[in-house]
Amino acid sequence: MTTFLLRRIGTLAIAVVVALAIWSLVLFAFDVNPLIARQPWQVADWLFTTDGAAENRALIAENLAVTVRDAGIGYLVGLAGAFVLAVLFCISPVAERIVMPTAMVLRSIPLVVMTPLITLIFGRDVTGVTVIVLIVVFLPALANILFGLRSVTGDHRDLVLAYGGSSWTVLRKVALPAAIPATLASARVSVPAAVTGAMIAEWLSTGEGLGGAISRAAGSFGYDQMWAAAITIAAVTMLAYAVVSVADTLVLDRMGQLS
Amino acid sequence: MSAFRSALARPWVGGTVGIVLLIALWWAMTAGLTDSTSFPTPDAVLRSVGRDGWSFYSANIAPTLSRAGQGYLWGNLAALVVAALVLVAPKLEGVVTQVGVISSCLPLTAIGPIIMAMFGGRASAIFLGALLVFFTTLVGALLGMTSASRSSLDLVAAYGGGRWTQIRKVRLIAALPALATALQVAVPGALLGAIVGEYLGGIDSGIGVALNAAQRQIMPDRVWALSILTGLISLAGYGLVGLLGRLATPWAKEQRG
Repeated sequence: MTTFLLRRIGTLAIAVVVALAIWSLVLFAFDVNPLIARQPWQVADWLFTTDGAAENRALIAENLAVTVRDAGIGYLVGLAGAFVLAVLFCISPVAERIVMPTAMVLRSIPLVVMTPLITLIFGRDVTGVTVIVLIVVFLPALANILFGLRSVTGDHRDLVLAYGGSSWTVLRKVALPAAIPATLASARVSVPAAVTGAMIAEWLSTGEGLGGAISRAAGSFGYDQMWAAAITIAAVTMLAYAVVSVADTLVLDRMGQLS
Repeated sequence: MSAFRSALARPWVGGTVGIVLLIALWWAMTAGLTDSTSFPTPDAVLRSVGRDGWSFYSANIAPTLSRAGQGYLWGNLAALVVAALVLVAPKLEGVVTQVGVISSCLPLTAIGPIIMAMFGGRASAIFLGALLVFFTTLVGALLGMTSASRSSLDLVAAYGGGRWTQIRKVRLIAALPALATALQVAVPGALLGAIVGEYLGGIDSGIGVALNAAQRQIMPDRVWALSILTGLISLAGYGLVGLLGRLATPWAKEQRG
């Protein structure tokens, strides 16, 4: 367990170094205008060592809190809703046949396009943002979890039925445990999706949070803040992803589903 | 009743019913609104499509498709090169996957303005499309590489084949179905990236630009028409790549079920 955690952290650290190197090299290689471009150490300087670094950090942290709230609510509600609906569809396949193709069409409408429509309907506040994050998280998770619930083989079902279990017992004893890996995988990949959704919603509709701050900073040539905000949200997303991913592996390990 | 039920179980019948229900709901919600500055009825949207005509749509769709296509190409190319690296040096897989995760954690709205300030609007639309495609294809390709069956690999080894023969004869073939699926799933991403890039500005035509303009001029009919059209294009691309993938990997049919 400790070696596993250490190995994960090690891999993550190497990957972060690689990403930082790519960032720095791209700026050098394309000889990007220094007025716009910021190297990793310049961002660190703005956040930690320069005069007024504390205010800079406070500014970023304040916006970050809003973005985390925006992404978090939609993420939790979206995953929970997807799980409930997937179980429902598992019981009633006809409902699935009606809803799923429609959901696929909705899913394929790009998010930027949908955001204005949702803003028109739900308004420019937390509700609108939550609905947007919900759509991003909900549909792929639903498809994924449903696939997991369906992965029950005929043999397992027959065994439960032969021992006098009902289809409810099949769901409880076989299908739900079988869906856990898919649910965890959805929880993992939904993290970046939820953040992207929240950032797009903030950019296009509420103007709050890091999403709003970045577009305002870009418009007013506040490139220091723009870079720092971008790096902060990327780092936080990555950390959240890593935490969910570790939890995912530990749970699967405990269930004995790791091959 | 049971005939009705079994008909509904067929995907396209159920899907049609779902979409008809959705349109009916849309109509019911909007019919009562007298001044619909934000929420037009379906027929108002259709009429706006007729009014704007083919030239408006083709002038905006063509550039977006070209940008999305270029982003799709570059993103997939980059993902395949990186995946090939893992194929040759499997030890790299952990780090490569993590770098992929980092790339997917970069928020579009943060990277977009930075790329735009550095390279201009056109490049930013293509880059964002490529960024969204990269991780999906990378994960699909890596998944495919590990899906080669142990016994096939052992067979090659038993007949004296080396690692390179294993890669050529078994791993690549086994990787194609998962790769085909990933390429399909990546299609809407390329379109989304291109449109976000256009939305950021610095470009004179494209779906994102038209959408932005229609919103500022408060033309909800056009906003809705463009949105639905984009969804249809995205869906058509998804279907087309899926079809090509199935044609290219006929041996994967049993696995797909």
